[in-house]
Amino acid sequence: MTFPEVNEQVLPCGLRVLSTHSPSASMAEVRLAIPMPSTAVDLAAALVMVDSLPGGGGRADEAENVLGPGALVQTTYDHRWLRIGASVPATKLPELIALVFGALATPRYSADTCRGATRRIIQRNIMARSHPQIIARTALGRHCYGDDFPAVLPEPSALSAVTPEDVTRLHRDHLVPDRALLVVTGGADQGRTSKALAEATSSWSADPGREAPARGPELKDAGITLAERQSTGQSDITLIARSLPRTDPRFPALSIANCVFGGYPASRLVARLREEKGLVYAVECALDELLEDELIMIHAGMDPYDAPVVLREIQSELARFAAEPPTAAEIATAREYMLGMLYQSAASQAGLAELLFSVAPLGVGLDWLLSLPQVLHDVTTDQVAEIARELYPPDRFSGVVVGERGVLGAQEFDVPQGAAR
Amino acid sequence: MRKFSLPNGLRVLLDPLPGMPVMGIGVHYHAGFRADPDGRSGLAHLVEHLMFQGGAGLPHAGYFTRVAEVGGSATASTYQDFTQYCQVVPPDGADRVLALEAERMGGLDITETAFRTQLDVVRDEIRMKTSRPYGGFPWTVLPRLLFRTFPNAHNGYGTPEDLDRITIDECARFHETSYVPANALLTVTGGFEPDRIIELVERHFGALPARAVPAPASLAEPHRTDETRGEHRDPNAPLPAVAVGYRLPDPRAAMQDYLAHMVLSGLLASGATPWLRQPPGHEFAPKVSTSCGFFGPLLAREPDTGLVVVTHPGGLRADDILADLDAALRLLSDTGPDAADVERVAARLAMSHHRSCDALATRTARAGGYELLHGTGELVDDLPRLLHSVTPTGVSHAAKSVLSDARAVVTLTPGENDDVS
Repeated sequence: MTFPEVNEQVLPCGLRVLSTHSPSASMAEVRLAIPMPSTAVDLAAALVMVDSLPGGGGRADEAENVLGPGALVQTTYDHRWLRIGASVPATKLPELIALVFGALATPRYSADTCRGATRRIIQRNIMARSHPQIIARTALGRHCYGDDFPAVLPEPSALSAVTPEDVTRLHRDHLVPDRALLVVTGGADQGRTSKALAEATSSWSADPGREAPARGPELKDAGITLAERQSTGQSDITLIARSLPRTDPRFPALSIANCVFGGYPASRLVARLREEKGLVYAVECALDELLEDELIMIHAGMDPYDAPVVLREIQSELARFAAEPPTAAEIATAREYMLGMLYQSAASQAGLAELLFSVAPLGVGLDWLLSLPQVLHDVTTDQVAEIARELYPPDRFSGVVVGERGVLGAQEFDVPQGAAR
Repeated sequence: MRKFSLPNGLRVLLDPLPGMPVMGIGVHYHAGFRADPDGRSGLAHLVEHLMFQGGAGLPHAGYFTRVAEVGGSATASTYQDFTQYCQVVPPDGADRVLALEAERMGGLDITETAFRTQLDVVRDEIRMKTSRPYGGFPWTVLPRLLFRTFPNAHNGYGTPEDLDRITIDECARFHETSYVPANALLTVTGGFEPDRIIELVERHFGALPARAVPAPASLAEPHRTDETRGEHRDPNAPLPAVAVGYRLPDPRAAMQDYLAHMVLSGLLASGATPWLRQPPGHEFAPKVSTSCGFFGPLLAREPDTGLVVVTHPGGLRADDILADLDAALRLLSDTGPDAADVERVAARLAMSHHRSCDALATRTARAGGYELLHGTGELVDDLPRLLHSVTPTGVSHAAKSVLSDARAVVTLTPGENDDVS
């Protein structure tokens, strides 16, 4: 792969930095990821913290005031990562670095910022609560992990109870540089960037050596259930099964297998459910994560009436995947597609930043990414077949159908309860 | 950029970007949903889906497979006045993709099965996208209030009754008459050798016979002289909303006026002029979003629509919102906006445009759309500079035209919202 030269360094504070330089680019793209424990963090406090950091809702105008009109800074939290993404004029990168790392090095939370954040989050959640994806994710978590599955959206009472001390403690405990990753791409001057980084991170303290938090709830083989919800014209099916860590030597074979099964428009799942049967507009199978678990996740949204037949079709494709594993031609097509998408990412500054960023959760070096084309080429048909047989049998998948009993098809809705394993 | 035409009338736009690891290949047909025949709403969109059935001899999802085999991705969208097909591929895939595009331009062999299946997929797409909270709002409901003639007024997704009436012959005829070389533009962007691409374009598209270009659908209609109001019920929306639509100037006749409308639209959503009252007794502030053009600026022929959409917690009537909007427009019209605010909004729009076009898929789609409709593919690079030429006086004139224009107003009433049980 023709890949731009990537500079990799670890700063004295422990922050790992990957950067590329494209002299012709007028913008700089920045991504920062800081790992968080997936449970044992108070969701309400975490969201208040995000709202009060640069790129949070409470500082909406700050980026443009400091970095010029059109500058974007956005901070998000998804249980496993706190992420700060920015897209700014290349000349403003030193100011961005000072802004972001200044806030990380010195927590400043007041009763006022907590109150404002609470209001904004409650308002945002009024909208989010009715989103089919949030509803499906909540139902999936409760079914497959039990009542200890952390809330997807916090209760207003929990938000109102958050104090500046709670947020400051959370910040000091977790927003530390030693396992964080920073990616910088675009046209910024590298000398100025390094100088700004050295200055801005000099007082950001390293991990105090806290204990690893207790593991969260365990994923159960819970079978498939119906999560009842008054009909809104859409049912969602989400099925999950354990997969492999991304650092597993068999992961490249898994990624090809998943692509063939349901990972792109030419996959078996899309070809059958959409192009052959016309049952759904949207269906996919992705390699995803939930809490600490790496998962194969199948999702389809459909007319509630069609949910039973869609579920049967998905299960039948899963069964066929093990019985008729991917052919050499299917594997070759998926591989070319995956490589093409890699090149496509590398063709834009934002795409390149996201691509480099993808090594963040892996705890692996840049070599992993650079060797990916060769690694994908080396995967054999037998390795993919083994993955298909081992990880895709239908009885490995648990999940939920969100919909209204009685609307889901003319026949009584019939789902296998508590599958065998 | 280089522009030329083949003897059969196909227009070609070459936009080489040396050093890019991938290239974009797009075909824009000058036939979008405003070319739907009266009583056959949804036809253009259905034909878009049928174009992926790839004609005779290709299996289900065959088009996607053949593009994926050379490392490419393929998408399509139906806009008001064009339907676009875009691929991004490594340079080695150019021959394959150009051959595929030429093949489906040359003829579409629609089987009965493909027709039935894609009709079902389209119905499911519409169901999914319109059953989301605020799905299809306001573009599927507002045009019939602002416009009188079928091309401008109808819902581009198609009504269920019209979709039921569409026949396979009508799809074939639509393709035969509208998808002719002289009614299309081929756009090639990114990393390629121009001489080699010209040779491939001539080889694959040069053999297609010249055919008569259909007369474009007549879109001209007088401005309304009255304000029209309508109601829309959304059972899945959590909060009420009001959408206001007004006619935009013709960018072909008055580009500078159109650019001023882009800035006005950005200004009304920017918070620089907090023009909307706080509803009494509600803690949460209303949210204002705006759009210059139903699907973005410069992506339709005249007449296109500017939108102001207000989502609020309740307690506001459409009359309150219109009164506040008019007061804000009058102020802008009479005393003019602050020059710094105009500069800030222009810079924000310019940077956002620049950011979008950094991704090759978007650059290809936009360059082709601008070239096909306005003869100005160069806008992908020039739009930022042009936006900076907008003056406060220009924005004043734009505000005045919105004030004097008759407009359409749709009130969205939410249904009962429930959480997952």
